[in-house]
Amino acid sequence: MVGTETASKRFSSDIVLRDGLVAYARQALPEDSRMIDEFLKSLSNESISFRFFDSAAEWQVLLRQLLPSTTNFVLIAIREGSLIGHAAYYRSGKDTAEIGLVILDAYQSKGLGTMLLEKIARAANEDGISVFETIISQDNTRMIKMVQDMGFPTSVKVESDLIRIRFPTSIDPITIESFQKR
Amino acid sequence: MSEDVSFSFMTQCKFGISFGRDSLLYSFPEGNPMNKSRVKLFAQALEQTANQKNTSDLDERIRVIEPVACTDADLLVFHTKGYVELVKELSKTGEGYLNYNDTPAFKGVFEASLFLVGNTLNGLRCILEGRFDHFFNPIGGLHHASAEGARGFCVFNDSAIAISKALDEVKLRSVAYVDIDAHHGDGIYYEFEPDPRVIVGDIHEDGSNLYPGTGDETETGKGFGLGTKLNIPLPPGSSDKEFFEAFDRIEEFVLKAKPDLIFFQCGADGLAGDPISDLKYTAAAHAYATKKLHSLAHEICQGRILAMGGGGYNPVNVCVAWSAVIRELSGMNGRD
Repeated sequence: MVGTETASKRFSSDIVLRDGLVAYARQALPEDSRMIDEFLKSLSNESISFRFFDSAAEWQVLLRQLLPSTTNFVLIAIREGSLIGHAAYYRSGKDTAEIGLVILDAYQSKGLGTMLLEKIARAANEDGISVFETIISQDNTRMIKMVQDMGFPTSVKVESDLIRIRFPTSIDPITIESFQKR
Repeated sequence: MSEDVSFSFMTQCKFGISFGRDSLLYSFPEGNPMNKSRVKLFAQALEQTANQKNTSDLDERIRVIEPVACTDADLLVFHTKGYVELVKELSKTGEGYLNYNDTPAFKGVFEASLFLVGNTLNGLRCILEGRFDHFFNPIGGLHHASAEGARGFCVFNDSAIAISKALDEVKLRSVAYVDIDAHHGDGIYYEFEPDPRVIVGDIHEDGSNLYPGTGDETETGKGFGLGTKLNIPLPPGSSDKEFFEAFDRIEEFVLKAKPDLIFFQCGADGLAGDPISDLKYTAAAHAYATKKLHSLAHEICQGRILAMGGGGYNPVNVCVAWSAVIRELSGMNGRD
């Protein structure tokens, strides 16, 4: 009786934000490039700076980092037909990947980033990636707090004005408890 | 609220509606769209009508009946034992996720779900015993739940359980499942994708912008079930006009299949103003679909329609859409 499901459905879900609004999260597809381009255009300078570090880089270079490809996994959050959040991992080694996360200003501090990060961690774990790495600007206090609050056992290394954080992608009971309290 | 939400009891059909205090138990915490506040206006309208009925000489063939709980065994007709046990366990504390995804547990979720499923199964039983021609479980139609887990705020798939019982226990030849909720009924489609006995007609918002992202027009069933499913995704912003055209195709599809019973998931989240979907129907869409199905059911399957309320997260929309369903099934506006 059980039929088949499309692969993308495995990562699709509704996300209830802290203020009760609902966003739809799913894996990004090649045909989403226009929507991702519009999302990039709507990001604040601060968000671009925190996400890419080099806000002066050419538009196409930034855009390429957000588009889905064979070497990354991209999860997007949509509300009212527009992108409001983007999370991705980029394989950097046999079992490691770098992550990138950016949320539209109006939707920050509503629990969306935490949920997207949890979902890409699950996807990465299924993909054989056991460790996530991310480099965060010391000024990006919101992102630092979010990673800390997620409950992942993290290793932190300070490099100049940047912080390098490593954490496992496996979801243990402590991490699950942290998600539930988000 | 300016919309007309009164119900008529002028009918030629026997029509049962299952609703009561226990219907409101299936309610995720405040802040979640699937909270009991979404059905409060509808509940008030129904209660008002029931009170009027008790003090007048109105037709007795429509009855509002109290919710009934199903058993664990009923759940196991469709769901796995492991999943049923998980829901039971998390229901004790109300903590945790039922799928580590988007559906949290709440205290008493298992017991609340027993009533939700029980109402739909009671409707099936009543229809098959001839006590009612049509039956409506407003809180039913949780079409995302799969056999192994919750999805999209749907814990147990009451429609899938009822369909399984209708086919495998009652031995109906075939059933139709018509779904006009804004979200694709993936929990029905994929579970019965290869089953030719389940005719599916589903109109929903295009999956590129809305959960669960499935229900493409190319998904028409598989194996022996190929050609027994009709998915019609509509672009965001679609109005009654697009809905009417799509529903005419559903009507023709169901008519050709001549099922023994019609399940009707009449989710109200396609109406303009819903906080989750981007469709722009009015309650006329619900009136149109119900009128067509009502007429069709009397033509091909002795009037047997089991309706379930499905989604809908704007309380006014929920009230006017479900009221339209009740008015049409009650026969107030006549049949086509």
